[in-house]
This record gives sequence, C-alpha cells and structure tokens, in this order.
Amino acid sequence: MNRLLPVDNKAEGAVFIGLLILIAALPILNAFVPEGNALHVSSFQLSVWGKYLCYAVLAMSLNVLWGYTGLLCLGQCLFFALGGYAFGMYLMLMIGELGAYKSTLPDFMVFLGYTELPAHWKPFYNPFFAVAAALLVPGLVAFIFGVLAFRSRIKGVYFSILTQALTYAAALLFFRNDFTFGGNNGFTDFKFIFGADIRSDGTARGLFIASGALLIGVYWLVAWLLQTKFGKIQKAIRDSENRVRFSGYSTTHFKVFIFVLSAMIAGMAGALFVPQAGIINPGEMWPTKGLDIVVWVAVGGRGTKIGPIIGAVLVNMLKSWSTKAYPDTWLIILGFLFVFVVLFMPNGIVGLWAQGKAFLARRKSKTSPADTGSTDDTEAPGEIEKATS
Amino acid sequence: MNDTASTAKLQLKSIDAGYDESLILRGVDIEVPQSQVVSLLGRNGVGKTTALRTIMGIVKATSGVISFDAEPLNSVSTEKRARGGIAYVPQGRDIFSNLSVWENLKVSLTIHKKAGLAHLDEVFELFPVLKDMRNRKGGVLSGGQQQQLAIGRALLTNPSLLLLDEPTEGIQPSIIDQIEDAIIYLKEKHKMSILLVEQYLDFAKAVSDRFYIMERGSVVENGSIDELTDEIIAKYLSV
Amino acid sequence: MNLSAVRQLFTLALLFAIGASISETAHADEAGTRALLVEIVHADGDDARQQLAMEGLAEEGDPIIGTFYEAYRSGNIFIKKVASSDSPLVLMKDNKDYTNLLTGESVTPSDELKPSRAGRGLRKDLKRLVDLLDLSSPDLEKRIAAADLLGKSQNPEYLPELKARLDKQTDEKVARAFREAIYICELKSGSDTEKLAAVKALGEMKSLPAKGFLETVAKEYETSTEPGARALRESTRKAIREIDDYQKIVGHIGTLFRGLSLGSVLLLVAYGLAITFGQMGVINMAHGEFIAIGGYTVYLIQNYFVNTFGVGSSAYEWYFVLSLPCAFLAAALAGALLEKGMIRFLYSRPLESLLATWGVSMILQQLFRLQFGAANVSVSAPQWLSGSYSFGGVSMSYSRIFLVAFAFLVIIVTWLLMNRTSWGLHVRATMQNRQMASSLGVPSGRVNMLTFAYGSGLAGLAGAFISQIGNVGPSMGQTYIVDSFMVVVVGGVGNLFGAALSSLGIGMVDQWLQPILGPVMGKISVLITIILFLQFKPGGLFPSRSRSLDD
Ligand SMILES: Nc1ncnc2c1ncn2[C@@H]1O[C@H](COP(=O)(O)OP(=O)(O)O)[C@@H](O)[C@H]1O
Ligand SMILES: [Mg+2]
Repeated sequence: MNRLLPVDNKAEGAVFIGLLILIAALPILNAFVPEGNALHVSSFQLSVWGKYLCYAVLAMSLNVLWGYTGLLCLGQCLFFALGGYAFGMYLMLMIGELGAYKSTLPDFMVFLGYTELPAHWKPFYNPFFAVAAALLVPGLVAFIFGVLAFRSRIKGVYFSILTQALTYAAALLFFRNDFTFGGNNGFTDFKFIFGADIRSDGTARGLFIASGALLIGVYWLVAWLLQTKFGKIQKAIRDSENRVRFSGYSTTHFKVFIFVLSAMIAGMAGALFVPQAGIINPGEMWPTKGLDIVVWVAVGGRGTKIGPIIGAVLVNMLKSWSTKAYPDTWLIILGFLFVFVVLFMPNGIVGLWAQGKAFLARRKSKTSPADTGSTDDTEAPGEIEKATS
Repeated sequence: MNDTASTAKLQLKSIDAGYDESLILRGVDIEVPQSQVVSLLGRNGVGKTTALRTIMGIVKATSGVISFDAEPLNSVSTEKRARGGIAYVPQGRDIFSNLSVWENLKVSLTIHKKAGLAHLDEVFELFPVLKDMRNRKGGVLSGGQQQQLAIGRALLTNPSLLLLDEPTEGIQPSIIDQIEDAIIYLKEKHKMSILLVEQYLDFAKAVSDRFYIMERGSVVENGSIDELTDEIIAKYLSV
Repeated sequence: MNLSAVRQLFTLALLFAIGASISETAHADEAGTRALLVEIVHADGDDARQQLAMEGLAEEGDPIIGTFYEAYRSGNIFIKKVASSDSPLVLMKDNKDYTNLLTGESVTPSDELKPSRAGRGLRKDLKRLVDLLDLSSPDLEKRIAAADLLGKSQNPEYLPELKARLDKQTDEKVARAFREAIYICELKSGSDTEKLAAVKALGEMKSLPAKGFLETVAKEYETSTEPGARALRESTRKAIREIDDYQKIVGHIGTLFRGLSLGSVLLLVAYGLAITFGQMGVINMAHGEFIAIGGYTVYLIQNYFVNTFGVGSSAYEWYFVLSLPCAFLAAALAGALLEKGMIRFLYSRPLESLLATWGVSMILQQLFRLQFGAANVSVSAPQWLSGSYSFGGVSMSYSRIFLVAFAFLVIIVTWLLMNRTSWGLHVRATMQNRQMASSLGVPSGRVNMLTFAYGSGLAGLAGAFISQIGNVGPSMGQTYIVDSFMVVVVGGVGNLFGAALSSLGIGMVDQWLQPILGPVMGKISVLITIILFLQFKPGGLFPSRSRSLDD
C-alpha cells in the first residue's frame, strides 16, 4: 500500500490522481479562463460535474455496504434523499419572502393553508443544524432499521427486499402533502445558501469544491477503514458470516455500524446534491433510484475503492448523453449495458484488467498445474454467491 | 488398448478436475472392469468424492477422457449420464428431505419408467424398511435408513454402473451388513459394476475385487484386492 | 369458462324477456295515455272531466306521464289553434323542439301558441300519479327504487297505495322493499302501536335505510313521558342497535371481500414470484413487466375483437375469456426466453440475478412505452363482467368475484401440478437439490425453464385481471411488485401455501387499514407491520429449509 495515496496499485493511483486534478482544475477553469475560450467551464457544467461527484459519493456509500460487507441495500436512495431534504429545508427557509406568496413560510405551506412554521422546521434556519440533520437523520433511520433487521438475522436477498420496501414506504410518505415536506413537488426555487446567491458562479465553485472534498474525504476514510481490523472483519462477514460469528464477534454490531456509516455518507452526498441540482422531491427515493445506484457500483466494480466512482460518473455521463441523443431508447441502452455487465463483467470496469489476466493465467495453468487446496480469500472481490448464500 | 476399452465398464484417463480456480484431480487414471467391485481408497480430502462427482458430470473434467462402455462421456450432461446407466449415491446421501420416501423413489421411477419399476420389488426386498416407511418424509429417517433410501433410489434408475460414496459412514453395523449383502447381490445377480469409495477397510476388502488408492489428487497404488498389503495401508491409509 | 357462459346466457335471456314485455305493452298503453293527457289539458277548468281522465290515467302505467308532468309543471305545454279542426293541438316543448302530445310526432310551432298551466290541485294529483308510476313498473329494479323513494319521503299519502300493492308483489326483494317503505312511512305518521310494530319490524329486517328515521324517532321520544313512549324508546334503541350491528357485519364483509380480491391479485403475482424466487432462488425484477405483458395481451385481443366483430357483438363478450390463456402463454413465453437466455447462468447467485433482471425490466418497460405509449391504455370489461352482485347490502363487482374464484382455481391447479404430476415432483426435487436431481436423470434444465415459465405465466394472468380492475400501462407491474416480494417473504420463501395465506392476509389487512388510516398511511402501516412481523418470524410464516437461501 502506497503511503501517500490511499491506493493499492498503479492503475488505481492514476485514476485517483486524475480525479484530484479534475476536482482542482474545473473550478479554476471556471474562474480564470474567460467565457468564450474553449477551455472555459460554465457554472452550469460545473454544477453538473458537482452532481456527478455527489453521485460518486453515493455510490461509494453503497459500496462500503455491498462491496465490502455483502449487504445489498436497495434503499440507499432514501438516505441520500433524507440528507437532501434536511439541507433542502434550510434552503427553503432561506428563500424568505421572495417566494410566490411573499410569505416567510415556504410557498407550499402557504398554499396548503399553514399560518405558522411547524415546530420541526424552526431549527433549520441554522445551516449547521441542517448539515447535522443531513448526517443524523439518515443515520438514525439506518440505525433503527439496521438493529431490527440484523438482530433477527435478516440478510442477503431478504435485506435487499426489505430495504426496497423501506424506501418505497418513505416515498409514499413524502408524496403526502400533509407530511410538511412539500408533497409531490418537494422543494425547489432556492435563492440563497450561506447568505450567497445560489445561482452565482462563486457558489457553484464552492459547492463543487465541497463535493470534491467530500469525495476525497470519504475515499480516505474507506481506505483507512479497510486496513484496520474492522475492515478485515467486514470482509470476513461478506465471505462467511457464520465463521465470523463462531469466532466470537458480534456480526450484528458490525453490520449496524457499517449500515449507519454508509447512510450518513449518503446523507452528506444528498445534502450537497440538492443545492447543485436545485430541487429535491420524493421521486429521489423511489425504489428505481435505489437500483440505479446499484447499477453504478456494479458497472464500476464493486468491492473496489475506485470502481464506484468510475461507475457513477460514467453511467451518469452516458445517461445524460443518451437521453439527448436517443431519448426513446436510452433506457434500453442502459438496460442492455447492465445485463451485459452482470453477465460478463462480474467485477465491473475495474475488474476487466484482472479478468483479462486471469483468463491468460488459466490458459497457462493447463500446462503447469497450479498449487492445490488454496481457496484463501484474495483482495479481489469475491463472488457474489459467497457474500450472500 | 482397444482390448482394455472393450472390457472396462468405466475408464478415466489422465483426468484433471477441480472447483473454480483450484485444481483437485490431477492426471487420475481409474478403470472399473465389467461386473467387478472396485474400491477407491484414500485419506480425507484427497479427492475421492471429487472423482465420483467428475464421473457423474457434476464437476467438469478440464482435461483427460472419461469413457463409459467405451463411449466418451466428457461432453455428456449429468442427467444423460444418469439415463445412460450410471447411478450415484453421494456422500451424505442427499435425500430429498421434504419429499416422502415414496416420492424420493418416484423421482427415479418417473424418469426410468418400466426399467426402473422392474427393480422395485427387489429394492423393497433388499431394504424392507423403505416399504414400511414409504409415507414418511425423507428428512425424518435415520442415517442408515436414508442410506438405504439413497441406494434404493439409485437402483431404480436401472444402472449398469453404481457409484457409492462412503455408504457406511456413520451407520450402525446391522445396516452395514445389509448394504454389504446388497452390493454382493447386485454384482452377482445383475452383473453390475460398482465403484465404491470407502474409509472402512474391512468392508471394502470384503466386497471388492480391485482397489485404487489416491493421494493429493492422484492415484498412487492400484491392484487386485489381495495385493492391498499392510504396508500400503500403513503408508496411504492410516491416520 | 363455464361460469362466464352461464352468466352470459342468463344476461341475454333476461334482456330479451324485459325488452319483449316493454315493447309489447308500451305501444298499446302509450297511445291511450297520450289521449288521456290531451284530454286533461283540454279539460282545463272542468274539474269533473279532468277527474275522469285522471282516473283513467291511474290505470295506465306509461312513462310518458312523467315527461308530461315535468313539462306541465314547468310551463312547457302549449295549445295550438288549428283552423281545420275543432279541437286544438296540444304541443309539448322539450328544449326547443315541439312534439304533438297526441301522436308524439315533432311539429313546427307557429305564433298562435297559448301556454297551458296546470292548477295546484291537478299538479298535485299528477305528481302522485308519477310517483306511483314506477311502483307498477315491469322493471323490478325500478319498482324497488320507487318504493325506496316513497318510503324515504315518509309521505302518508302513499301509504294506502303501497299497502294495496304489497300483496301483488311476488318477488321477495320487491316485497321487502315495499314493506320497508311502509314501515318507514309509519314511523312518522302511524299511531303509537303502528310505530312500535314498524320499529320492531325494521329492526328485524336490519333495514339500513331506516336507521336515520329510527334515530329521529328515538330523539322525538327521548324526553316524552307519554304512556307508550318508554316501550317505543326502548324498541327503537334496540332496532338501531340491531341495524348497527348488521351494518358493521356488512362493512366487514365488504372489507373482507375487497381484501380478498386485492389478495387474489397479489396471490397471482406472488405465486409466480414464490415459484421463481422461493423455489429457484432467483429474484426476478422483471416479474412486474410480465404482469404488463399480460395486461397488454388483453388490450391487443380486445382491439382485435373490436375491429373484427364490433363492440356490441356477442363475440366481443368472449374476448376476455380468450385473453386469459393468451396472457398466460405470452408471459410464460417471455419467462421461458428469459430463463434460457440469462437466468440459467445465474442460478444460486440471487443478487446477480436480481441485478440482471432489473436491466431486463428497464428494457421491457421502455419497449412498452415505445410500442403502446407512456399513458395507460384503456381496456373495457365485457358486459358480463361489468356490474355487480349485491346481497344484503354488500355489493361485489362481478370482475372481482371472478378474480377471487380464479385465484382459488390457480391455487388448486398449482397444488395439483406440484403434487400430482411427475413434472411437479421433478420441480420439487430440483428445488431441493439440483445436483442430486440431475444425478437421477431429472432434466433440470427443462424443469427449470418450465417452472420459470409457469411462474411468469401466472404474472401474465395477474396482468389480465388487473386490466379489468385497474390500469394497463408500461409500469403497471411496479405497483404490485414490492407488495408481492413482501408476500413471498412473509409467507416463507419457497412455500406456496405460505404465499397463498400471506397474500390473502396482506390484502385484507391492507383493505382493513385503508379506510381507517387512508390509502397511503394504510400502505405504510402494512409495510411496517411486515418488517416488525419478520422480527418475530424472520423465516416467514412457514420457514423453509431451502439450501439456496440459507446460510
Ligand atoms: N465444492 C467445493 N469447492 C471447492 N473446493 C472443494 C469443494 N469440495 C471439495 N473441495 C476441496 O477438494 C478437495 C478434495 O475434496 P473431496 O473430493 O471431498 O475429498 P475426499 O472425498 O477424498 O475426502 C479438498 O481439499 C476440499 O477442500
Ligand atoms: Mg469424500
């Protein structure tokens, strides 16, 4: 392991450095290269990339859970959306009297006949409270659900299905007008963030840099966690939970911890996503969104540090390109891509290199027999069946 | 060469096989002559079960040739091998535990129809307990009863080659005797060829004509059962 | 399909009988009625002549009286002087068109129209006549409705008429309606003893419409100290209680039935899932799209029938019957293709199969959108499936009854297939131990394909039924898929009986909670209940020992 960079091999290091350069370069190109120059990055493009970075963090949060612990959560979008809603509440209050109804209350509340801000909204005038809520609310939901699920040894496919049901239930709840979170339309039309105009170039740069910093921070956190004893146990849980349990560790505690951590990371990503996207609504927690995230991770390469980032960025680029180029068929393209990845690239884009090498090695091994009996876990992500069955 | 192929019921020639990345069998040569009982011996983990699974096609041979009645088997699917006359009684018996005893037997009968049905009386004669317990769930039977069921189920596929994987493992002596009788009966009466994986040496010696000994995925000794000396036993089989 | 044939024959026969009787009598009556009505207009001012005509009218039972009364009341009857004839024409105005009252032919009006208005007395008499008209209608439903209306008016004037007609009613339902009306009338205008009898009778009848009137009576006598008041008060309370209890039962039965029909849809969806997911260890996220395949199959067949035979044709009535096997086969074929092309490479890797089939689901949904548009398509029910059967206050739509019956049929057929055929035996053996089954010669590849196709076909059937009670659209399957996964998990993965029980159970709990908590909160509560339920029984109702899903 490289001392300076949290990477395991050269290829990963190259991608990581490329990412660092991208994060540093885009805001500079936005600020210092004049408009009209071919190298200029508009604030709009910057916020698009900012959103990709948030998605990348979201993908990493799922990877911590799925890639390293074998828990496939289909409701990761819920934590992302909860974080987004928490920060969105602050942004809604910052609109002040500039809304359509010229009231201090958010427009949808005026529309629904509220005369006073509900009590649970009041603390959200404070942005730091909102950020804390974006961390803690997803964490709390994950904690409660995790304790319930893991205590009764719900795992594998059952866990997946239940997390899907959870996000489905939450989405239904948020669709309701009387749930005080804007119902169908959610939150939008934000005006200010930390006192600055949300549409200004400076804000776009600030948000982008914050997203980049979050991504790098989470990356480091994951890398650090993996080399601790904790990370080892985590992987052992993925590969054979019973063995871990029999050797005296409480797998429930580990799983709850990792679930909560992953939810909090997702919540942070959501909190940074909302000001850059300019909108949050219950569609963001619809079960299909949860599956989208799984797609990113699988395409990039689950169980690798860099894979989820690559997957999230590439799939979303592909998506925004193909929605324009092939508005009718882009879902079909994505669907086929996905089927292809699952069937032929079990370790995703990142795994292609190793897959190629293994293929060559297998050809060679026919002539010189390999060592037998060694089925020890390697660093490469294990088969999914091991993780779940 | 041609001569051996015509007399051998089953022949494995330099078979390699394994699971995923790990190669278990390396260059295994085994031959089961017509209507003889051959014991495959060796310590735990040397690859005996893997050898039987390879013969059955559950594990794919990555190189070498398996031939059955002088026909190559390598690319034949497991179910076709079963239909072609190879029957398998796995280690641990693998009874369908949610199915009744009768349904367990019926799985074979529905596929092998008349040919299987012809053996039904025989199976009930060899193992009367199956008739008495025909409506019980397979899962509630004792180990010995399950073993009898597994053998009975295999016989109803009307095999000419029977693969038995440690049929005496964890079973009370009275049933072991019954199984011994059955093996001898099948060999005498039906001219059946039998490949027996066994740890219980006396049992193997009592029923077999020939033996093979495996060590770390390869065959290291073989010969007629009289040639199984104490020296060989000490070297390869004692724990 | 027998059921449908019988229903259809029955409906046809009924329509024919009613149609014949109406057209026969109507012609004779209508001419006479029209003549009498003209006479009434002409005899304006001559009470005796009018009285005579009215008596004549009372004998006739033609609906034209109703129209005439409306027109007369609102000043749309005119008299037109005609030179050649001694008696002037009577015209009836409807919007802007005039018709000759005597003949029913349309007429071009001239300037010499003189409006004719009925006096108060005449209007009242006519109204009575009209109100009573339907009481003798040959249409039994109309007769019941009329009795209902008169009862609710509590107008004592109608009492004798109702009583006089009561004996003539041979139909049990109609007679009940008449009695109900009479008692309700008596609640207001009867003597104390009559009231007491009426109260008791209504209580015994469990008359739901009478409840409000009984409450009025209860209030009226609450403080009264008259001699009979106490008895009346108590009987009224008792009657209300009886009706209340009955109402609750009716409510429960209604809920039960709705839950049963929702459960039946879930059952059809979840049975397919329970087979593919529970027994084969494959999570098919495209299962919802197989539902849509069923729905669209019905849509296509409907269109074919409309184009070939026309909507009203009797052949059209059969389209849904034909749709059922087609929907099953279409979805089963899709399932078989999916299994052969993809899923068989993913056995015992449940999460990978989940992801790959999710890709397929995306593709299929978009294909539906491209082919049929993003909006829901309209599928109409055949005549024999529309309408509903009501029984003692509970009303059940025929399509739902058919659905429930069909779901039970599916349970039975599936049970027979699994337990009484060699295919079923092979399925069960393969599910338990695939390698052992192949080692005995079971063609596990084919067994798996057929099993998957069967499960998918059931989803197609579910789609066919949803087309009758819900919407057909590209993402119609998504509505049911989360619930259905829950059903399978609650039932105990791999256990068909558990799936049947839990789908009906979840359907009923859902319908029971919805009126209390509202549709969304009801749904959320169901989900939460399920999550909590799994706390106590993580393996579901009937935990399985299936190898593929246990650790
Ligand atoms: N399903 C499997 N996957 C991977 N390795 C296996 C599997 N089954 C057995 N092995 C390995 O193959 C080797 C031989 O096992 P086996 O054939 O069962 O030996 P024996 O029957 O002689 O005791 C052992 O090292 C065992 O760990
Ligand atoms: Mg063994």
